[in-house]
Amino acid sequence: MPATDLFWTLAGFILSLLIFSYLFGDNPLFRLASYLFVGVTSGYVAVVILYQVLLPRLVYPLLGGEFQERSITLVPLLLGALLLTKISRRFSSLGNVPMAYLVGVGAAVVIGGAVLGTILPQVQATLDVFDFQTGAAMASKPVAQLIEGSIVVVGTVATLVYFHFGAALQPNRQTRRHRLVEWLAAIGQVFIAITLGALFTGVYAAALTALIDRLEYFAATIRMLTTFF
Amino acid sequence: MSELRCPMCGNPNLEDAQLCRVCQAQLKPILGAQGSDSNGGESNEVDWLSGLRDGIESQSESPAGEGRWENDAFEKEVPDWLARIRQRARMEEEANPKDSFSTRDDLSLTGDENPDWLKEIQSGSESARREERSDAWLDLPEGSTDEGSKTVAGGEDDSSLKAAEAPPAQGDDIPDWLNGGEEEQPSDEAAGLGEEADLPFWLKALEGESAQAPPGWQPPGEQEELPDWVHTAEAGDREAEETVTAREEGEVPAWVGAFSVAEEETREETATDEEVETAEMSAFLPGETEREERIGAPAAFTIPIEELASEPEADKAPPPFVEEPIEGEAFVSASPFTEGSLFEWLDELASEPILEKNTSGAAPFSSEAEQEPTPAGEKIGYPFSGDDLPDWLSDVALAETSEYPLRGHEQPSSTGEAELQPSELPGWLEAIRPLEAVAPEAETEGGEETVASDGPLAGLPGILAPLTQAVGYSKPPGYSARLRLTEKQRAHADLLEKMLADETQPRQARLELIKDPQRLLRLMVGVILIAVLIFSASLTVGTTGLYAPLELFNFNNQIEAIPDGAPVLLAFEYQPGYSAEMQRIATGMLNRLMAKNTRLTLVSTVPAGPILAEQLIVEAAARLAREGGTVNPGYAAGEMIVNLGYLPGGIASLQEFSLRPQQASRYGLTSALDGTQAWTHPALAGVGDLRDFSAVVVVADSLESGRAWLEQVQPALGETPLLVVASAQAAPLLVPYLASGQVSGMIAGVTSGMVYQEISQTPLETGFLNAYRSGMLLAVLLILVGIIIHSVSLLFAARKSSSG
Amino acid sequence: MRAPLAAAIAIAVGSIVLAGYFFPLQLLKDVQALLIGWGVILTGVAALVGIFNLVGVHWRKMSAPTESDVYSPLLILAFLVTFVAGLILTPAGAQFQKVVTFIQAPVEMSMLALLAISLAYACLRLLQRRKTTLSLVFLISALVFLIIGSGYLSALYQIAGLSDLYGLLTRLPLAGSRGILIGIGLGSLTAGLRILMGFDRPYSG
Repeated sequence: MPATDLFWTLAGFILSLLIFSYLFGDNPLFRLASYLFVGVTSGYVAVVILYQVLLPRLVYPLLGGEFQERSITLVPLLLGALLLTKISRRFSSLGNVPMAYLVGVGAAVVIGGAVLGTILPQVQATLDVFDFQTGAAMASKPVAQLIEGSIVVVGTVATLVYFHFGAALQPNRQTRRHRLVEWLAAIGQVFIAITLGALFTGVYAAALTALIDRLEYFAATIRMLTTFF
Repeated sequence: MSELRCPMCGNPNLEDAQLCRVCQAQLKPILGAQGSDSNGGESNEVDWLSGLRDGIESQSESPAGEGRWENDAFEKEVPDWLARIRQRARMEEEANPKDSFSTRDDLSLTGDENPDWLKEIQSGSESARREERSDAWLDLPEGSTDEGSKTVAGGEDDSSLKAAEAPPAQGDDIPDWLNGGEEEQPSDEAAGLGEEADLPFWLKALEGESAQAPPGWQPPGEQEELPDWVHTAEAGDREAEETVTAREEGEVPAWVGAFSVAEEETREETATDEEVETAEMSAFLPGETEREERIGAPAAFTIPIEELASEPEADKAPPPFVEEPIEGEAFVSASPFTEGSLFEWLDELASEPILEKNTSGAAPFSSEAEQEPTPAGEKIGYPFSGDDLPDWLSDVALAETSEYPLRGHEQPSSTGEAELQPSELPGWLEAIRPLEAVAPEAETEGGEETVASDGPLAGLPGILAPLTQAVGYSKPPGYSARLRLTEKQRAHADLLEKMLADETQPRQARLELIKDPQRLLRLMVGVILIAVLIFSASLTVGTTGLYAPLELFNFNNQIEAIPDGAPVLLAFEYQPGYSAEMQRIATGMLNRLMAKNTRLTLVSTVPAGPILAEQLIVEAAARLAREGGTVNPGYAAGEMIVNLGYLPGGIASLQEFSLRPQQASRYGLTSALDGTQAWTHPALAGVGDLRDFSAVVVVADSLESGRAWLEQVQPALGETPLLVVASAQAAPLLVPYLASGQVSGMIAGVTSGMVYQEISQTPLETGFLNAYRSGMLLAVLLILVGIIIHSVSLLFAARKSSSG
Repeated sequence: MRAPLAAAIAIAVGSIVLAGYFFPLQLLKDVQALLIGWGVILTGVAALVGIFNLVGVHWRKMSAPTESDVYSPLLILAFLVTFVAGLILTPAGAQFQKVVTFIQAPVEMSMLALLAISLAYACLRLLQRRKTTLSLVFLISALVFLIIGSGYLSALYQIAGLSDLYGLLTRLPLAGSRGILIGIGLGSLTAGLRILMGFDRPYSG
């Protein structure tokens, strides 16, 4: 085994052990590994941004691009320079313009994606449950599909209603949701709980996979180290 | 019908008349008609003062020697008594023009030496503005009116004590005859402080208002520019309380005291804000204290008095009663309106006949009394005697029904004993009170009669509009620069501060002792879990009968539908921590894709994604080798796989990637330095758009990463299917996209991955799968154990409660 | 009005980009792509700013006269070493890529493994915390999906009559998930519109 591979193997092994020391509670070893991890990750991300973003998208076009490309690249160059002023407290206000640019672009992208990618398709899919021309309704068991579709529709609507917190002022000066809304919200609560149970299971499954992998890693590393030394 | 005599001119008027038909003076207490005529009353009452001021201003405007007093417009507004004064002055001026000029020289000199603000006041040209100013300086400050009225009527207020703090006015800028007091100078200017709306800006500043000086106004920043009486103000203030009992009532006009009271109370209430106010004052008047400003500013108000005094003394030196230094405790007490003060003599002039009857000493108006130095504690001589007495005052003095009460000089002290109560007025004084004789008694809002306490109108109830007008005003609020918090707010702020401090300060991590049962229990659970996993992983029992959901079949169908050698886009959207799970889920898919010789294009919006992608491919091959399988031996990874690298910007970069992929990822992971464009790679041959890919497979560890591709890229894919390889934690929330048809197929979690491996005839990691299933089953057991423990504890608790 | 220039830029740029989603004009699409491209570059710069700020914070904590953080020097050292090595080796370098495979991945997976133990412990105490209808339904749901996830009940799917029930159980989270997804979409829509309308200005700080 090359020395560099041994170094990297030992580094990963020791860091994993340090992290696992958290089983006994918060301790300096765990903190040591955490800080090292953050420092390494920061350095890695900085390098990736330099080589994968700034060089190919800012430096290369400015140095070797055509006139039009250079001219266009001047805008993000200027905005980027202004954004760097966010590092300084004194000049951080200059960075508001590029930040506003980022926020504006991000907001528009979020809106467009949410409308076209989630809201409309999901609403349409909810309505399609009762479309007997679609495959779901034309399945081999249309009644069962219809029942299942109804459950899905009720669950979807009830879940959305659960997050509706509008209430009317009662004559006794108390705010209370409409009775129908209360009923639907209670139903929605059940569906949300079911979904959260499935999510809990999924998170546990993902973490369990990582735990099994780490155990295998420990075993493999120990075997390798014993054979090496 | 009975008639009503004017308290000013003595002429009879109708009983229901409000104003004198001759002099337009207020006949009835103004409080009675306050609500309807307060403003009008104000304008009438301040005319005499505004006229004097205007006269001064017009005089200062005129060139030296010209010195015209006349102002026709002004003449029409002034009452008769003032007109007589001015007429007399005119006559004396004509008789001795030199002295008149000298007086004006003094004035002009004063104007030169005065601060700019005073010059500005004196140089005011618009008559309306002048009137407004004259009104303003006559007005009392907010909050002082109540005090003043109480002082007069109730006699129990401590305003007189505060009145002693009225600043002495003295300085080089004041004519000699006013310097006679040396230490003390009337501060009747303070009484001119008007209501807030009418206050000059410099007076607003005294009240802590953020008054802005006019452009031409220069603050008296240096002490030498201020009159001397300004400098002695503080000393006078301090000594005032000590000497208040030594002063006779009427030493200080009530309105002066009221002003001082207002100042003191404001200062007390906003004690914590005093520094702030001082700072504001410093900005307003650099180098001066608040009190110096308060006193220094109204120096211009000495001018009318000065002129009043100078008129009868035009042909001789300033009267000795002011020229001579007046010693004694009463004068050391710093009240400028001590015995012999200018306003007092006006009042005493009004009561001259009575004084002549009752005083056993020298006649108050005798020349001896004027010229001899006044010993301490004695009555000061009157400035006017004999013929010097103005006609209007003579008339008043001679008219029995128009004799002025001296209540205007009644200054009850805080002790209430050193002052005469209104009901304790001497009999001779009660007898001459004109109010009861000529006007019905007016009731103030508080049931107390408001009586003018100073000036030539002293004694007339409700005669001064500023008094009545200011009744409706409340005390100016003292604004604090400190944030006033409730206890609850303070507690919350402390809590937040503590939380932030804890976050910024690194905690000293110590090895926590395992003494907490819960922590011990957690450790035990961990040990059990690890033991079960190790044990089950060592088993070699095969796995059969895994459930294959519909989406998995769809996924498989889509993969199999990809033509051999077709380009496939693989998006690796997971963090390094999920690489173990994603490797196991995606191994079967990668095996199939490589078996079909598909050209793979790797891309990621996670910084570590490009490296994880390559690692996954390498690990998949190694895993296959470990499990006895083989990767397509003819698969040339160097030519069939291209890594586009990292796409910064999250969902925004994905949108750009869907719009123009070649610009969004022009350089790959390995070609960024050599300048080789990634899209010239053989793996991307014939691909110019995302629609050109045969399939897009997203390997996602979370809802966000999967949703980003579904929202930003999937709508641009057209007929190209989008497949998802999802972590178990992301699968439940990505299922709706599957149901909506946005996702053509999905592998969700390790179990589905294993099933797909079975379907794709990829060797399984049985040890891993056994451990995984054991771990899942252990969690079920733990939940059941928890339910049992909880039920037992509830049962024991119920028994304990029933037995107890 | 707070930050009028920045607000104008945010609204204008956002409106153009948003219009590109709904109006299939090639010119608009090109402008949209150009604006997003600039935004992507700025995102990279913003990430750099964040990293420099992180390092600056730890530098200040390290050089604090009192109670200096003993771990901050380690973080800065790790950052500098990685950064310099990355500049030299480039992300394409095999040795530099081991930063991910031998440091980031092991550490993150170890943390995730710890989460597994914590969740297993949470399974034991699921019912002890809160005893509401929601928690009870959650407990039952977790129990069912853990059993399904373990694969031990897959045999039930092969039993006639139970396969539909099994399929229904596995698809039951769909309703809640769809409701949550639509809710997320509506929330994103609202938040984005507030920014584009200038009501929210998170950039004017």
